[in-house]
Amino acid sequence: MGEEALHILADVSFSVYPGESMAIIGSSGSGKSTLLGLIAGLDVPSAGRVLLDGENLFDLDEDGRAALRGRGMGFVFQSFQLLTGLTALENVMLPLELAGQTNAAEVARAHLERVGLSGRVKHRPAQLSGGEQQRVALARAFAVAPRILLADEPTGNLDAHTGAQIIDLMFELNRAQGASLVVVTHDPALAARCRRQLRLDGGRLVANP
Amino acid sequence: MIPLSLRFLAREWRAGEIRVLLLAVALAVASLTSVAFFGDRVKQALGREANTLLAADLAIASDHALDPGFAGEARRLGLRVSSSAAFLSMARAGKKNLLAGIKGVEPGYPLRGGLRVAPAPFAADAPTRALPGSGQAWLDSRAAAELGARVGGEVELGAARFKITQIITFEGERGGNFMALAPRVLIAAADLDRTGLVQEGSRVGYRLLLAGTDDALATFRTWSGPRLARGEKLEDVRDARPELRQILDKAQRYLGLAAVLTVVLAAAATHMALRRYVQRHFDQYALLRCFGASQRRLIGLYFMQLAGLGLAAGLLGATLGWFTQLVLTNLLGEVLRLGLPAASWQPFGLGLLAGVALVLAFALPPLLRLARVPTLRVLRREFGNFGGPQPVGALFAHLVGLALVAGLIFWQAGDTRLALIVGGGVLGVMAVAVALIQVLLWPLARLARHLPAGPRLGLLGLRQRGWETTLQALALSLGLLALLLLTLVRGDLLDAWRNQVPAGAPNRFVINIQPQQVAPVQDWLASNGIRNATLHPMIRARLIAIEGRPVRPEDYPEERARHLAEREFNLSELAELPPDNELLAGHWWWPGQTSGFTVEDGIARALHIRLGDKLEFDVGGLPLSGHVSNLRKVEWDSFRVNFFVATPPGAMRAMPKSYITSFHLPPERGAVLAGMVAAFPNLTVIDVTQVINELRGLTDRVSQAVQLVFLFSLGVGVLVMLAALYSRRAERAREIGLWRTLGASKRTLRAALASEFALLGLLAGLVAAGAASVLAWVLANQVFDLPHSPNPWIWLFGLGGGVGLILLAGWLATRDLLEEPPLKALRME
Repeated sequence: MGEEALHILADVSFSVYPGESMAIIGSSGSGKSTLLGLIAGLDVPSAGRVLLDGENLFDLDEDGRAALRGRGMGFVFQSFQLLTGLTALENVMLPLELAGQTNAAEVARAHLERVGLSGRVKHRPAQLSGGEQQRVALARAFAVAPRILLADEPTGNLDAHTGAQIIDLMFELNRAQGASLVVVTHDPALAARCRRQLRLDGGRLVANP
Repeated sequence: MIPLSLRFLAREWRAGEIRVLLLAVALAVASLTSVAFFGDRVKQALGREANTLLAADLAIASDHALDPGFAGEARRLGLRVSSSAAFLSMARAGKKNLLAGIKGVEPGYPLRGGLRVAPAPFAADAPTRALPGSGQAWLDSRAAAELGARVGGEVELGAARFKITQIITFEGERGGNFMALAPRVLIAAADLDRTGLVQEGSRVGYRLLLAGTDDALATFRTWSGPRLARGEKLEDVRDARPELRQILDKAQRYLGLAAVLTVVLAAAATHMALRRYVQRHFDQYALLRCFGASQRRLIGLYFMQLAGLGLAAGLLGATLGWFTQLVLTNLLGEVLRLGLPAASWQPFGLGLLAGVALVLAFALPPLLRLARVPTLRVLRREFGNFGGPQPVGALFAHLVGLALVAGLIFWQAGDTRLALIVGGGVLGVMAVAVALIQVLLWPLARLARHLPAGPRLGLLGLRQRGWETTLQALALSLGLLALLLLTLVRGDLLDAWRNQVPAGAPNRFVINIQPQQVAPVQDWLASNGIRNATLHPMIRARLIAIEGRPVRPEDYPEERARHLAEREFNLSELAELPPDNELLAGHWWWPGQTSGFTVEDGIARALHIRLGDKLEFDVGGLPLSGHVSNLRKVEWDSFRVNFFVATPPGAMRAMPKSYITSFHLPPERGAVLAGMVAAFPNLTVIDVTQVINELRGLTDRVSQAVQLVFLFSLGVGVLVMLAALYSRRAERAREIGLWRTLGASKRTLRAALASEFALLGLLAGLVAAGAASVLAWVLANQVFDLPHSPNPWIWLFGLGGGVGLILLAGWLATRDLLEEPPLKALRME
């Protein structure tokens, strides 16, 4: 390298408690998504730890982290990440099937009903509006009964009105299931709904209430 | 894991995700199996066709009566059995005698092919299943004409009299040797004893004829091999008729070539389709990892899914292939006249295996690269596209894939050299082509700047997708290469076969013309409208010394050379080099040269005779010597009179000699010869029409079969190219949607697509034409043993055909995309 090392994140330390909601905010390039990726164990830091129930994610190998995600994490993405070839129902069933759940279809159907999409289970992503796609993603995230839900700009691809509906739904589900919620967002309205806000600037934590 | 992978597979099927892939692989397998099925049937038919010339599938020829144990074992194995015994003897009718080929046959003869008979000499004939009964004889037209015998009359053979009941006009089992060319008398084998002609020391050729399934024949072959005594020899059509063997071998090699190239096409198509499939699964892979699936589990899941897919595609393709060849052979069976036997099941197994092998061979490497896709891709799409170094596992999988394809190639080629040349050739072509295409793509960006919007978009697109373009051009090149190569080799083959027996080749030989008969025979021929019949002197001589060394058969290890050393040659005098001879070394006679020899190159090699050697002959007690002036190459299958050794005119003036001539007599004038035999009773007329017709008939049918396989592979090649272009359809739809959203008119887009396809076609055509020229040359020399002259048209066909075909296929693959509303296209995945 020779030159000064580039730190994407530095001196970032915080805790998230069961049932708590937290927003990670900051400008583009401030390191929000990188932080989320690390919390999820999708990426490995050059230094540092992420403890889940006292267990360091990075003591596990990639497959171990995957198993941990399968057991306790739910995800919602800005670009929805629905598989285009599958129907809404099949998309929600996917993580359940991977976990070996035998009643995957039943559970998935129930969760689609909770997000108000019982009439659209057979529809493919391309046949759904952006808001509906994100509802499917929410149903998929909560179907596995996660202990922590990680959301990356969940309203970033939606208009204000639809975004607000999705936020309401997400918090409602979260309350009902008692999961911890970590949201990366630009959206001040969304950030305001969370109990805590972490602000990142240049990879450093500038506010940790 | 299997139920889950099957569920995933079913879902992807419903989603239409894998339909294109399945279709591409099924198409590839269908092409492979239909060529294999069809080739298999044609091969079997060609084999049987040839076997009619042997009258059996397998024969044991012997110079003595064969141990009945052989026939017993053959019957035990379920083979059909018959036999014949043939010898030369005098036949008598009234006061006339004739040296005839007498053949006694057992019931069931011939086991393959059939006999044809006519009610009178030179009359119209018809096939028959009957055989001469006890006390009956069938004569051929020549024997009847020369003996002045009629149907209903009698012929004497040795001590027995026979009633002539038919004129035999066709008999498959007639080799090219002299005994077979003698006038024929056919009787029942049971009557042979009565003639008293077959005794201790008689020269009789016995043949045990066998026919049946390949398995039983193979078992018999193995069983009998070590039990054959001296003078006993197993014969199949390959041993019996070398000139036919060459034709059949070449035809089978061509079928092999078509099959091998189809493997290459199938591999290219599968690769294109799978590449796209795996790319589309990057997102899914990252997402499933995110949901907690382990790497091993996912790879296993995809592996199962692909294996299932391969099996399904194999099944579908093999079925499709079977139906295709069925329709094809039904449509063309009439034209072929080969009476194709039912296809064996082997190609079906080949199809299934090929489906799985192709999918796994081409899916494994990109599948293993999936393991490198970071889960972070769900947050950052730019992670985990193709590129970067390959994991060791992927390289290994590439090797396994290549080995599988190579295995298929070897299996299909049925000829190691052919497989090596085509396999190696294709690999070489790919390496050169990748480099060439990359270099040619380089200046595109600069070129594109000077072009109108449409072509600029098209060319820049090609340039930007550099590696993708290279792969696509490569797949298209392989498709075109297969087409061009098959065209070139087919051309060489057909040319060679067409020239094998030229129209108007001599079909009658007249031997035993005495010196004083030369002028009257010439007059007779001229008055009967037979021209171009040169009378050649023929002098029987024995070679006694080369360069002063006595010629002894035991000095030559080679059987042919020993045979040549002990027999008498027919020498002749030649004024000029005959038109079907080629001077290989030395010079033709100097003006006024009166001694010296011109020697055929094959016999010179066998007997170790070199240019300038002094040869000494014994001509009925008179010495004849001289030096070898030149060596000649002779085309023996031209059916003209040719000699191993000849002298300048006049060198053998004092020697005892007879004359020989050959000429072409149109079939409808065959009866004229009865007049010649009447005018010159001592002459022997040999009719080779039947031999020529057989050869010509066989070449015609084999040519048609080759043409058909060629046409078939051609169609498959076009289909595969279409599949390659379809593989980018979804991306192209998005591109078109984006361009249209940004304001491009349909005209501009059409121009963009046209210029992209034209350039792709040009690249592919360039590579294919170059590669086809080189490979055709190598194949002609190394595998087909054919004269090959470079064909400049191939460049025109390659470039023009490449551009035309790919423009057409591209238009077919994209024409509806221009009509889609841009929004729909943008949402398409």
